[in-house]
Amino acid sequence: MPKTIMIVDDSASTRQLAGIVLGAAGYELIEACDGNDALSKLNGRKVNLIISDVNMPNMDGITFVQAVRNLPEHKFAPIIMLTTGLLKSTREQARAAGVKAWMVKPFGKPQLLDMVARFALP
Amino acid sequence: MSQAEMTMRADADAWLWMSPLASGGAGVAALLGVSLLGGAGLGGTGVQFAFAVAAFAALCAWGSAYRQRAALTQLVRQAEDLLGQAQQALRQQSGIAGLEQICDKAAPIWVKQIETARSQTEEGITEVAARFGAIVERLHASAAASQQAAGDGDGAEGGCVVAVLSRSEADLVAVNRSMDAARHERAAMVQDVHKLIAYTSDLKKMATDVEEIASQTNLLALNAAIEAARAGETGRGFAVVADEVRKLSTLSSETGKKMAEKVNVINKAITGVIGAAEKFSEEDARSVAESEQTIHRVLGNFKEVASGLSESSGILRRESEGIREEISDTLVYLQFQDRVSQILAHVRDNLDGLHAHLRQYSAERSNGGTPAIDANAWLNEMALGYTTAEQRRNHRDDKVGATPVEKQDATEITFF
Repeated sequence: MPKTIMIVDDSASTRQLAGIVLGAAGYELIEACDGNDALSKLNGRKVNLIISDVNMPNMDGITFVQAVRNLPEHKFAPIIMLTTGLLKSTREQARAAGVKAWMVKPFGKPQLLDMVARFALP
Repeated sequence: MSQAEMTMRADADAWLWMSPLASGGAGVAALLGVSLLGGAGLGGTGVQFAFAVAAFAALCAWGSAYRQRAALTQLVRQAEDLLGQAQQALRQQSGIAGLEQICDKAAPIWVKQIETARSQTEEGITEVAARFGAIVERLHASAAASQQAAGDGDGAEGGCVVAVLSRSEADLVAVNRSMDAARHERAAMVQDVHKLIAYTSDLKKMATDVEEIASQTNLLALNAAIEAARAGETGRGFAVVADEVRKLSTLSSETGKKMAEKVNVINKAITGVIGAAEKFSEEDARSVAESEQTIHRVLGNFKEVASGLSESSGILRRESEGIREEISDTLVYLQFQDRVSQILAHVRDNLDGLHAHLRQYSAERSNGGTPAIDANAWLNEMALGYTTAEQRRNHRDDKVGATPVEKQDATEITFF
């Protein structure tokens, strides 16, 4: 059974690119355009890994991660931030919220696959 | 009040208090001269004095008029300067107001233009990515189908050319072997029939023996009959027995002959069967050999075609995979759009903010206020919103033109 990866990004092209790379590697993908959308799509579904942007409308990435940590079924879901953001303060917030890694865009294909393979739940 | 205005005001003040003094002096001198002339009856010395006073008064009046003219010229020059400065200030005021108007009208347009460019890029890149994604999927599907059809990959199941060929070869070889086995069985049967010829020889000899015994018995019966006749009446009974024995020997002889005839017939039949069987066996052997050769030739041809198909399928698969990888790698470079979009969105928001700021500034000025603009505070606030390294570099670097983007070979990753 293929592993399910959730990608949360307001940039449709980024979602598609990640989808193409991960889809070709045999992963199943759930796409969400912001934190609110992601939370509604997470509802009851099992995901092996969440990849989220930081700067998004409606609900930003940090708020989303904090909200995920409050969901009993996703409390320990591995999360990676994929962003153009460089702010140390935001990075610290992400670390405090239990994010596994912080990737700065643009991502390299091997690096993304390596991160997914490393952190996706079995 | 400007320095020029203050200087001019001071000069004007000096003129105002000097002018009556000069005019007053000349007037008094002239009045005195005329009064003296009016009293000319006093004598010639008095007239001379009056003329001298009048001349002095005229000189004073001329000097005063000269100074007045010089002061007026200077005043006019100063007034012209002041007017020029006032006009320049007016032009500046008018320029600032025009600039405000331009910003007020143009900023929202710039915001819209930037947003249009940003959204068009986003849509375009999204569409391009989707199309390329579809191409990647189709390439993957066709490579997989080709691989399955050629059956040269791992886990090739039924339906592929190579698998069908392999199965057909096994089936045909089995048929050939079965035919060969049947031929060998028939040959064994012929051998068995061959053995019957030996039995028929024995039978033929046994029939001859029977005939011989019958002949001997007949001879014995004849002798017995002769001896019975010689015995007379007493040998009559024996003569009957001898006669019956002779009849039996005759029958035995005939049976022996018939047996020999039948054995001959059987022998001929067996020989015929063996001959025919041997002939068929040779033909079968030739037929099996020919069919084997034909099977190998046909399978060889098929193998050649299948090998070509498999090879081209392999090339197609490898090429498809290569193209898929290339497209996939190329697509990763489209991520520039996300950064561009964020930079443009930031510029758009800044312009929006600037527009609102200018409106507030104009409103305060219209109400008679003198609002101050803290450009550094504005710039610092603008810098707070930067999310990319290039935005920060552009902000720091005051050279004209954008700072070149540094090539990023590896994704920056921080593990927590």
